[in-house]
Amino acid sequence: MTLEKAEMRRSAAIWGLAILCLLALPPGGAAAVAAQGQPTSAAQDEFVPLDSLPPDEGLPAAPLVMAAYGAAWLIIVLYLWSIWRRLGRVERELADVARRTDPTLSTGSHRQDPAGSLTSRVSERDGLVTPKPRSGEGG
Amino acid sequence: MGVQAVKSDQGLAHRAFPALSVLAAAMFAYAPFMIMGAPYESTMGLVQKIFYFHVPAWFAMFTAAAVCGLASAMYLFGGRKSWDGVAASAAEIVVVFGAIGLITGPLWGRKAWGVWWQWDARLTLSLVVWLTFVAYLLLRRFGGAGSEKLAAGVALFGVANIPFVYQSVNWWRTVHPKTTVVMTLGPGMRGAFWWCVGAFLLLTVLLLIARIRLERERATLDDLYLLVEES
Amino acid sequence: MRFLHTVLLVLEKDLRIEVRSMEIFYTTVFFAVACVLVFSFGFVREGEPIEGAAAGILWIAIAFSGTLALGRTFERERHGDTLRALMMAPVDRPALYVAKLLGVLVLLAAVEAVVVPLIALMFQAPLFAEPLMLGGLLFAGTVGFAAVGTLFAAMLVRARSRDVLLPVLLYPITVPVIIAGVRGTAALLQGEPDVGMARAWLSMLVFFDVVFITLALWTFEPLMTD
Repeated sequence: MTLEKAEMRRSAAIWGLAILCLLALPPGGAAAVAAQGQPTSAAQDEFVPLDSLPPDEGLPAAPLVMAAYGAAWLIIVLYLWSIWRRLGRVERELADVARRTDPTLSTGSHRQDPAGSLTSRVSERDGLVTPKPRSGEGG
Repeated sequence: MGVQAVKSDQGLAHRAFPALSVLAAAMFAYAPFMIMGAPYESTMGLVQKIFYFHVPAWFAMFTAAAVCGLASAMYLFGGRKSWDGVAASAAEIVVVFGAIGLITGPLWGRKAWGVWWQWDARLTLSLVVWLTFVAYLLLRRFGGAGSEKLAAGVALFGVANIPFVYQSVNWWRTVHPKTTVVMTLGPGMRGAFWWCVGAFLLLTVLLLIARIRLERERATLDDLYLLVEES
Repeated sequence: MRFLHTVLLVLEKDLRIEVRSMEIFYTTVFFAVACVLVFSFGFVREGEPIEGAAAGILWIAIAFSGTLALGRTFERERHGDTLRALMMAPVDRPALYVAKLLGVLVLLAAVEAVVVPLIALMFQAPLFAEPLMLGGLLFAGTVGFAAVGTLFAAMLVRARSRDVLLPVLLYPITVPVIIAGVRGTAALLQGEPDVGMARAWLSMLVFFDVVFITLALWTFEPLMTD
């Protein structure tokens, strides 16, 4: 599988996941009844289910519920996007390094395995030599 | 190794990823219907519905914390760099889901208890664990060379700390719904709750897979750069 | 035997260096006193300290000055690169950890010897009503704090941003120590000292100490070697 195809498949999967998550609206918006709750000592030991809401005064719960679900979705989507962006950057750099070191690549003759010769050298090194730290921080 | 090996290395995880993504997306898409269908709680009403995301987020956070602790121990005592990648990925996920829990919790608490924050055992424990892993990420980011091992030590200590924090705060008064709540959920609520737990845990696994892949590709890139420098 | 011998050698070296200048001791003690003063302004209302303020301020002062002392102790090691020399010596690594820990404990004990009477004075707190119990709490709490702190400070010696990273890493881990220390001390400072409660907190501190010293001994070598 080429680098581009793999990248497209992966990004499609992640975007698909993100978009489907976004399509699922928070339930608080649908149940926009101004339902209230008790301020203290609520449901310490167990939740007692009800079929309909009792009318009451106090803080409107709907905005809080919407904010909670909205925040949850937002954070998940932002994190997904962050992973996708970083992956994209690293894969571009990988392709770039491979292109730089193997001159035949620039002619497009080895597009199936862009980092082939290099990666076989890496696998030889793996386990034989532990890499030195790149930018050593002097003690 | 390299780019090809990164793909074949993850083998099963990589092949399963698209299918699992679709499953997770479907679960999250269906979740609101289950949540809306669940009965209202008698004392808390609508706001209790935050519970269906709040608690699964905490489940996910502590699962990721366990993964990070384990991976850190494997890295410290086993020495394989790949475990460090797992630990770093898990730590990020701890912070993400912890943030969700810490935001949804006070929004619920403001309505249910009248206050944004309570110093009870579970809240404080969650905050401390979250802070520990934020510190982990700060160390990795700003600690300079060699901070991967140090971070592994922090993760190990952080996870070992969990029972102590819980117990020490527990000896104070608590107003958090007790753990028994989850076990005594009525059938209408139970379905929605465990559905959301499943969705969140599946999401955790997916995020881990994606994030670990990022770590592996970064490691490969580092190796390639070294190779280029040496040649 | 060799273990103990190494510990005593390194400890003696550290103490001897410190005694020559007393730099870390004087500055840490002064810092602790300044801490107590600053927190007093926050927690004394109309001339009367807030309930439980004394216990809280005591342990905050210990935590803050402890962090400072840890940083300064290992900064000294970093200057001469002596930590690397120590690590290269053919001795048990955990012995080095224990020696460093004991050195920090001696320093903090000296600081507490000054701060505790000061707080008793400034807050009219009956800190010496149950001296043994209080001593036990202080000892167990300081050991817990120093055990984790010594390990983290040692491993941060070669890291960047080590000054700010030490408290950032240390405080979340030592939350149980602070909670137990403060609540235990507060239990002793009540009108009727609740010795049973203090004993419960003391037992938690001892358990914490055992677990975390073991963990530190176990991880010292992998953390300190490249």
